[in-house]
Amino acid sequence: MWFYIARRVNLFVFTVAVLFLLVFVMLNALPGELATNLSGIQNPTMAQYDAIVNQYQLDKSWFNQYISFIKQRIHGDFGVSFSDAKPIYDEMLRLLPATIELCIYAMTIALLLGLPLGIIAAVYYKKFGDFFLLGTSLIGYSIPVFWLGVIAIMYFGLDLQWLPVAGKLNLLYQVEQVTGFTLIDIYLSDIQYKQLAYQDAIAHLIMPTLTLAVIPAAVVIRITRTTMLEELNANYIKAAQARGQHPLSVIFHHALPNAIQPVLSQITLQLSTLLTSAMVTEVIFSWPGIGQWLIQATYQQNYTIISAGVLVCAGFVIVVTVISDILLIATTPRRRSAEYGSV
Amino acid sequence: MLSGCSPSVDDNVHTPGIVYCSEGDPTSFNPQLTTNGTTTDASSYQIYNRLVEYDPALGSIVPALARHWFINEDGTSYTFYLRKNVKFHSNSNFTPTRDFNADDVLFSFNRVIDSAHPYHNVSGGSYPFFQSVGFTDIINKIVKVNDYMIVIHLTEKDASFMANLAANFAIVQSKEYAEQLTKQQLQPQIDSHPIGTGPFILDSYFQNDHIRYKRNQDYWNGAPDIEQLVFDITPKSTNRIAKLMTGDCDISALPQSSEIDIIRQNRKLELQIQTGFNVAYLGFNTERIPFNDPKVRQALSHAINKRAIVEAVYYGSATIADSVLPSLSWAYNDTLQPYEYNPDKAKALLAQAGFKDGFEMTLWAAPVQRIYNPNAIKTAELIQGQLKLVGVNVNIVTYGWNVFIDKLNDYSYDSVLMGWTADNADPDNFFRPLFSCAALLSGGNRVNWCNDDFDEIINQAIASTDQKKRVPYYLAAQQTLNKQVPLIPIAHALRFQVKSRNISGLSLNPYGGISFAKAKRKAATTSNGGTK
Repeated sequence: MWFYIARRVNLFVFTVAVLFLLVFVMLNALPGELATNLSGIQNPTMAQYDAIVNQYQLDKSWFNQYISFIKQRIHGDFGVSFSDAKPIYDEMLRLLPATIELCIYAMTIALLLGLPLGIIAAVYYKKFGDFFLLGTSLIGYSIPVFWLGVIAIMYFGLDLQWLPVAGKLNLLYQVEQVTGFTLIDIYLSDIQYKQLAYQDAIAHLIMPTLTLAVIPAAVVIRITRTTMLEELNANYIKAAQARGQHPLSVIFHHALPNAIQPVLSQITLQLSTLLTSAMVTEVIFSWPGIGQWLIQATYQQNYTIISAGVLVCAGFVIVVTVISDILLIATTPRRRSAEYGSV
Repeated sequence: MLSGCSPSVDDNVHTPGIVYCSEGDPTSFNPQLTTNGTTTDASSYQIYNRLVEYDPALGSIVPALARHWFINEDGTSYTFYLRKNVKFHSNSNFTPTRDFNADDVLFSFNRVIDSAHPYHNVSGGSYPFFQSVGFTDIINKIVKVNDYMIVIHLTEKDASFMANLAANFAIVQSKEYAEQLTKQQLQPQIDSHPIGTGPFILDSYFQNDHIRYKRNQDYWNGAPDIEQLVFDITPKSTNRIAKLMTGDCDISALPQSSEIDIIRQNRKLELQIQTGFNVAYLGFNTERIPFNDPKVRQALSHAINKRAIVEAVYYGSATIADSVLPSLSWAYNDTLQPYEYNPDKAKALLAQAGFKDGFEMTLWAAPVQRIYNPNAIKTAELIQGQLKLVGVNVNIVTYGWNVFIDKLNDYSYDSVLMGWTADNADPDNFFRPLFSCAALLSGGNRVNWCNDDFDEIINQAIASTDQKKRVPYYLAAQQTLNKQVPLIPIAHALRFQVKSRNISGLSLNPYGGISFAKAKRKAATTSNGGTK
């Protein structure tokens, strides 16, 4: 097994190296001084310029530059923002929790909805329930996030005025950012009207979370259905049924534990899709997360932020994929065969 | 970043407060340092007071920190009797031990006019408004007679002096706070962690997110009704309207003209309209080739279709500008010969100037909505199309607002889309801050234009306090501008403000600057945690 882990780690290192290379080439190709593109310092003074040259070894070969670029970034130095000269690392730490919060809730809802519905679809294979759920999930999967978000804002926000359409919390509630997770921050704060603040925060969460949850939920339904069908047709299930076990027991004790594993591994593959839709969702609902920040940076041609965003988001997806792979290998010995080891 | 606050001690269900959807980040919390409307909105009338205020309803100067004043016969010395028992704010770092007095006034004005003042160069040493109206030259000295009486001696008569003292920028800071910061070596905090005498105390500021103020219980003019005031920084206009409609905001700045109909249809919202004392213009960098040639500038004036811009960008909520001065002003020159839209004439003039085949130019425009121009980028694109017809290729250059303002000071542009919102009713406010040689240094003179004859005219215009005598000078000044065309005035925008109907006590000031001191929230809103 260690061999396979080593293989994965090897793959990981190379993928990350290629990622860094791409970003590095991008920063070289962009218009403007390389020193400015790397550090984000606009019109540096002589002293600052020398420091940047030293830091990124700009007087050495491109390979040295590349290596020191990786070193800086891995040590958390992403340079400063083009527009307000703030360190990008700090900004990311401040904004990341909001995005993670949104993604976690959306993923939870997707699983809570998707797993049971997927099971139902499999159990009612080729009956009305199955067709209905398949059709619904196909629609859900096909609807563009930005369209869904805007329609939700128009209908539930502006027409019915049920739900707020922007931000995390009404600003009259003075909740200080400690963890960055709104609900936890409200719990930690010392305001007296916490109950109302919770209500308000949840009202703000409903639309963006549901919008973001639609695609993963559709994916979960379809995968759960497929894997459940596979298991339900397996011989051990037939044996269990033949033994006269209760149908529910067959589904939940026998089929589900085997069916759920591929579902979980497939979900990690959905992560990059989730991140992309999260960015769009954040912009639509003015959610103060990393996506909104990145898209603003794109408008402003803020190269340091864009490159940091590419590195962190792509890096995040790579890390999660590798970890889930390793976990899968650890739990499913069957997967260790050579054909699974190569990607 | 500021942090912390005292937990509020009210037994209400939710904190009564008002959320204002503002259009951008302030550059600092000291309006002395800027002419930027977003900054003055966030500080001038919330945190600070001036010696005197301009009352738009009365159209006259009214007392503020000065209870009353006296001007000598030849108009060169102004005596101010200051208000007693005015308390400064306190914050986590500073607690005032004395009331406001003459020392604070001297500190605030000397900081601006005296380049040797210890605080002059804190925060950059640039005081654009004061430099543009020549404060340093016009004020001979400021004398403290006693703690509550000061005399300002002018070098010569200046008809706009009182109006300038009432402008958004002429605020009073605490000398005691400054002294404490000097001891702590924290001088820049005087502008980032402000202490003033105004109705609200700054509580916290998160860039790109929000500003929070708490009411000043000891405000000399009566503590505000609302307990807290929040500026929700929302650069996109559609988002501001959406927040208004769902109740996350109570008041919003600068609705776009295209949204006016939607606002009118909503029963919860109220639209306030005010003729604006502002102008949007296309300014040329008159030191650069080919814009140093007045003929080229005149040619381009013929090439720009202002009507199309007013219709497409302002949706008609503006009037076409023939002069920098709005036609409402008493000094407006209605005999000006406007440049009609005529591309052929423009081409002919360009050919005369030696640019038969046209040329390339950069046009700088900020992607931010301003009172005078709701969409500078769109305006720039229209101009780009219009100038293409006469053979001029326009490259649009754009940056975020703060970077934009910063880069403008290098004068590295060919032309720029900017505008001006008057600070007071005096016509002088449209001339000296924009075109004087002094304004070159302050950054108000975006056209890089210094003309001695013109300076002479506008200086003579303020030498008299008699309106009748001033008019001819302003007519002449507008005539010169119309001939020289350092900039092409495009439009005077109407001012809009949207608010929820249950907010009262807010008026729309034609000269910019919003004040929440008298704002009230009607009682029927205690349900639903303030979200409705």
